[in-house]
Amino acid sequence: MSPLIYYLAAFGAYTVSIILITGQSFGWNETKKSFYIGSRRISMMPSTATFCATWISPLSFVGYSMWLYRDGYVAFLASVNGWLLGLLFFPFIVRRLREKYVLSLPEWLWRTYGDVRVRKLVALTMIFLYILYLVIQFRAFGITVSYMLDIPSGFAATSLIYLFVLYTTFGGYPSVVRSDVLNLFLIMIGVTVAACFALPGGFEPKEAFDVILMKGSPETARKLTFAETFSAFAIMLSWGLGVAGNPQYAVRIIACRTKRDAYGMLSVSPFIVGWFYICVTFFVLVCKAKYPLPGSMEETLAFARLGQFLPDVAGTFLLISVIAAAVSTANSQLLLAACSLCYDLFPSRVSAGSNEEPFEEDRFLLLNRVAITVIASIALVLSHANLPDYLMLGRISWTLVAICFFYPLFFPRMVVKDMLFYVLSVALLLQSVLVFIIGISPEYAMLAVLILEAVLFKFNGYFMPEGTAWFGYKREEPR
Amino acid sequence: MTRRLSLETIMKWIFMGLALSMVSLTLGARLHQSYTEKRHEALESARELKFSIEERGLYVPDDIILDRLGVFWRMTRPGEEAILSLRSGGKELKLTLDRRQIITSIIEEERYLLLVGLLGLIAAVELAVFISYVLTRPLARLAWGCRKIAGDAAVTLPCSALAPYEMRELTDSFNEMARQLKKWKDVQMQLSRMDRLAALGEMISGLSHEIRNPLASMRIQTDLLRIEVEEMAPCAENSAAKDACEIIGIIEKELDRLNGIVSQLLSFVRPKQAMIAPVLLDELLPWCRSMLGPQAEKHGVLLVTRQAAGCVTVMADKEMLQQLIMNLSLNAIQAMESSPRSRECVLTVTIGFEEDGERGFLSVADNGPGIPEEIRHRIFDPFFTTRKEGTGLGLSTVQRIVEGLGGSLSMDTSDEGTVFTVFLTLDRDGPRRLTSDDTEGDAK
Repeated sequence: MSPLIYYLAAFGAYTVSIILITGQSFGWNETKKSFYIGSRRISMMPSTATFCATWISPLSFVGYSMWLYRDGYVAFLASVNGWLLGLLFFPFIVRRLREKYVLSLPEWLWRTYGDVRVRKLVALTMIFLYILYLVIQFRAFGITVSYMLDIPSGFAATSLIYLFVLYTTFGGYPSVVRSDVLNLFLIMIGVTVAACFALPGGFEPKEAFDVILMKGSPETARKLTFAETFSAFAIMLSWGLGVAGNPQYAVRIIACRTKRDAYGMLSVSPFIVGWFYICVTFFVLVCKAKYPLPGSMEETLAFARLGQFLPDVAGTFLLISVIAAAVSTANSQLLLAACSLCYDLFPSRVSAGSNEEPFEEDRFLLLNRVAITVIASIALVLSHANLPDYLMLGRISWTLVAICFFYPLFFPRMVVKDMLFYVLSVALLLQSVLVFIIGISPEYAMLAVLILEAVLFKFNGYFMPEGTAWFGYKREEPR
Repeated sequence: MTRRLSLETIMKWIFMGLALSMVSLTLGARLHQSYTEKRHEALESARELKFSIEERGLYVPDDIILDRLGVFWRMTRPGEEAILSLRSGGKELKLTLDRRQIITSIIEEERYLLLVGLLGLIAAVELAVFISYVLTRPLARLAWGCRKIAGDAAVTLPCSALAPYEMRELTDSFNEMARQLKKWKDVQMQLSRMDRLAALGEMISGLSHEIRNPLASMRIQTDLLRIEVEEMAPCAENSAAKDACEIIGIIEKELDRLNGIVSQLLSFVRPKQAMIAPVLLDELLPWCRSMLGPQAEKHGVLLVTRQAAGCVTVMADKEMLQQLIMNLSLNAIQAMESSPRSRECVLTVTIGFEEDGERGFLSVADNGPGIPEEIRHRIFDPFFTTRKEGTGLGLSTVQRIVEGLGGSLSMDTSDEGTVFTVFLTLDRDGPRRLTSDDTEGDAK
């Protein structure tokens, strides 16, 4: 039977499942707290599901796969190691993040460092980088759907994710969590099935071992040059720091019901994410050894072609898992971007929120939904613009995240409260100049900028004698 | 236990079911139509081929026949019934339609339609969710409002701009009902208070009468006793007589105090009839300064009298107003005794016109610690007091006077102090009101 029938059936089933299972609705007594972080009542298992589903994006799926397919284990060294390195940082910030009772990471910065300008600056950066990130999700989804349904990759294909994402994000964090549970299930099924059916003659331990060792592959004999090693290390470090400071994960830590749930989530997640990487790596290594692809091909399309080498049903699951990865990451990022826009960038519009009346925040939540639609629409349009590839967009985003959040989150004692806004402003400006104007690789630029941030904090007395206020600004301690 | 389903959920599922059915029906009808057309075309072309081969008695190899028939035709399997049997070169070919091929072809051709169908489905479901939300949200609010009212709380529901007309009507009616209920509750409270006061008055009246007569007799006898003692031994010469006179003086003082309390009780239960006449409130301010000034000074309170407007003539009983001001002011002075020492105690008596100019007002404000929330509802109850020496009749009398004058009394209290404001009907025939330039005077 034609794979198109499988793909269509699977895609239709996914659509109906999203509609029925996520059961999105606007709770009549919803508040901004329930909308942004599910009223901090999310138990361990759903938290773990949403944490992992958000983790697995087309960047860490398709981007990594095609890099691995192209360059071998150097991709694993730089990206998977980097991401998992970032995961190690999270347990250190659980207490710090949860004790402030905040709804977003920019708000946490404000409450910790007492400078509302930092909150706004970081919120603005988050909006920018999440729009970039959304472009990756939209593009990956559009290309996958166009490949599956054999239609041109245009608005028709991409508008499906637009509707999916709006549907799952309008209900706020609880709705995102529900859809993430389904998406993670599909992703794990997809990659497991792909790994199981990757070898042409069925799974054989010996053959699998040969594939993992890349026997006969030219890359095994090739030694990495110093520049390549340094580049891989820089990417690993920047992606690790980017993951560690990523508000997507910080919000999930904040939203857990208890600290125990948060630690539980962080303990279980590496196993799920690890299994995902093992399956993907094995599948791609098999493809690399057995199924050569023509040279220049768009990465999602190339990945979809790899899925074609699997049996029809397994290939269908694999492609559906790419779609699920795109949807799960996109809705989470869209919610965060809307939160940054409505809650952090314009905090004065937020009601005091005594929550005595359940519809007190109706208007504010409506604004959030409008913001979600607007941001998604911008990302939809940009996904058809001629932007760089996934890896580049991802690298730009990760490095910005690391610059904004790394020191404030992990080295609060090092941060000088009065200088934070200026240091972050200079750092972001410098990163933009280095990357967009001079054209330096985002990772190298980020390392330089992080060193500059450290120097500025360290020698703050030199730049700003004690008791002086920069440009006359007086920091206000939040109530 | 059966799970309670909300109207929103039911509506959402119904709309979603409808959307799903409509999409399935539309797509199903279209796919079925395509299938029928393709089948018909396949049969037609097969019939033509059969006619041309059999009519001319041609021999055509099997693979060429199958090629000419197209992908929708295949040879029958053993036991399978043939749709088309074709005789070529004396050999009979049994053929049937390949459904799988037809379906694959349809799906490939109609994939755009299927995609549009999915898009329509998601859009319809999102619309369903939105419609359910718009229709049921006001009902959920109403249910919440009813629960609040049942829990004895005042509630006013906001009306959403998205709500349909009927819902807005319903919300307005609910708010009106809540207002009426509150009014009715206030009336009920007033009635109950009046009942209690009537019973109390009856009892106090009888009791006071019975106490007052022996008290008068005791007072006369004490006077006589003091005269007797002074006559028997002048106090200046005899220290025992002096002591006796002192003791008699204390008895007299206590008897007078007792008589005062009984008189206050009697005036509370049998208030004198108000003599309503035009009263110029401006005239009360000098009286305030002279009467309250010494009292305020004694307690270290700064008395401020303030005219928010001049020539405020109201319909009232001047004597009663004086009693009202006296009660409120003494109450305020006593309340400020518990203020922090760092804060300067200020008692402000203000007169003026209400914002809409319909009534005149007289307010007594202090900057004391305010009235604790838990006793606010009881402060106008007779005999309710927080002070050891208090009778608990001051504010109760004030309320009674205001009611008797046909005015209204409001109280505003916080940590910063308390303001009692009495609103009274203006004398329409009185002198014209002056400009609202403040004229202030203070006395300490």
